Formats: sequence, structure tokens, C-alpha cells
Amino acid sequence: MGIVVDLDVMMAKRKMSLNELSEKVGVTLSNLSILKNGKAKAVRFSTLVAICKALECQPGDILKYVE
Amino acid sequence: MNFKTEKLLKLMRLLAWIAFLGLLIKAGAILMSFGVSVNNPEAAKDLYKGMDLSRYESYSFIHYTIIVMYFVLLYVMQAYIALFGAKLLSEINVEKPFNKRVVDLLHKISYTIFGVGILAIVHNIHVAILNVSTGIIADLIAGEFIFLAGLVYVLAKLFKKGAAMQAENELTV
Repeated sequence: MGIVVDLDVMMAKRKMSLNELSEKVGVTLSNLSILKNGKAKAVRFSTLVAICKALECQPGDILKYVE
Repeated sequence: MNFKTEKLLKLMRLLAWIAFLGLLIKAGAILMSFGVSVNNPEAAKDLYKGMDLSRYESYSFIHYTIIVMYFVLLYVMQAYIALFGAKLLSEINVEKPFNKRVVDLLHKISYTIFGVGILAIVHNIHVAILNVSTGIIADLIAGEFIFLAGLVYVLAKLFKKGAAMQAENELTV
């Protein structure tokens, strides 16, 4: 299976919409959707930092390895 | 896109279409002249712009027909390459040049050029055999097509890799 992005779980916990996160992180809505739907091939560290900062969480809360 | 590049692409696209039409007309003209030469052997002296195959015609009609068909096929295949070239120039986007369509077209161009190269070799061997048996000397078709096909094939492979990298880059968040 590989790496699974659990962005919506964290967003629900923080009660944050995709639009709001997009504004805070500075990533376009379409790119954030790509990440949320698990279609992304890679994530930049800078994006990960911005998402963790916005959601007040650790990278492990968003990314999970599933066999 | 740069204005100069855009103009150049438009000009090249126009040239490719002109080449396509010109080569088709050339193939059609040879075919027409050949049709005339079936009943009137004198026409074999000037099939297209001084193309004289009358010595083959007087030696053997079958060999004459095969050699004419080499030329018709050669020009039709070259026209096909020009058509692919025109399509490629319409498809290409300088901002994002690597895509599947361009890769497919480059592959098709390389295979067709390879076909032209094989045809040129077959023609040259046929003409050389006839030269030995009948003494008829004829112009050979240049044989660099295989090398050119190899180059375009390598370019297609590079574009394929580029397309994969571009897709990955587009999916990097």
C-alpha cells in the first residue's frame, strides 16, 4: 500500500476546512486536494512544515505507512 | 511562450505541411506518369522532373514497376514523416514540452524513418544487382536514414523520461 495521507482526520480534529488550510499553508487548493486524495507523488519538506505548523501536529499525524 | 519561438514554431509547422503536400504530389505525379508509361513507354524517360527509368522499362517491366514503387513508397513515407512533424509542432508546448502525445509522435517518426532507411537499402541492393546483370547505372538513395531513425528514437526515449519527470514534478506538493 505504501504511504497514506491522513490529512482529513487532522483537519477534522482541528475543525479546519481545506480552503482555510490552503490559505494558511500557501499551497493551492488543487495541490492540497492532490495531497488529501493520496495522488501526490512527493511532498516537499517546506510544505510539510507549513501543514504541521497550521494543524499544530507532527508529520506522523498526517503521514502513515501501511503495508 | 517567447514571441520569437512561437513565430518559429508556426513557420516550421507551415513548412512541414508544405513538405507533406509536396511529397504527396511528388508520389502522385510519379504514379500517374507510371500509369501513362504502361501504354506509352516514352513516358518512362521523364517520370518526374527528369527521373529517367526508361532503361529499366526496356529491360524488364517487372523490375521497372518495382523500382517505381520504391520511389512512390519512399515519398509517401516521407510525406507521412512530414505529417507527423506537423502534428508534433502543433502539439508541442514550450512551457511543458514533455507529454505522452509528443513521445508517441517521436516514436512514430523514428519507426517511419527506419522504414524509409530499410526501403532505401532494399532499393540500393536491387539497383546494384541490376547494375551487375544488365550494366544499367542508376542513382542510389542516401542511406543515412537508419542513423537518423536511431537519433530520433533516442530523442523519443529522452522525452519519455522527461514526461515521467514532468508528471512527478506536477504531483509534488
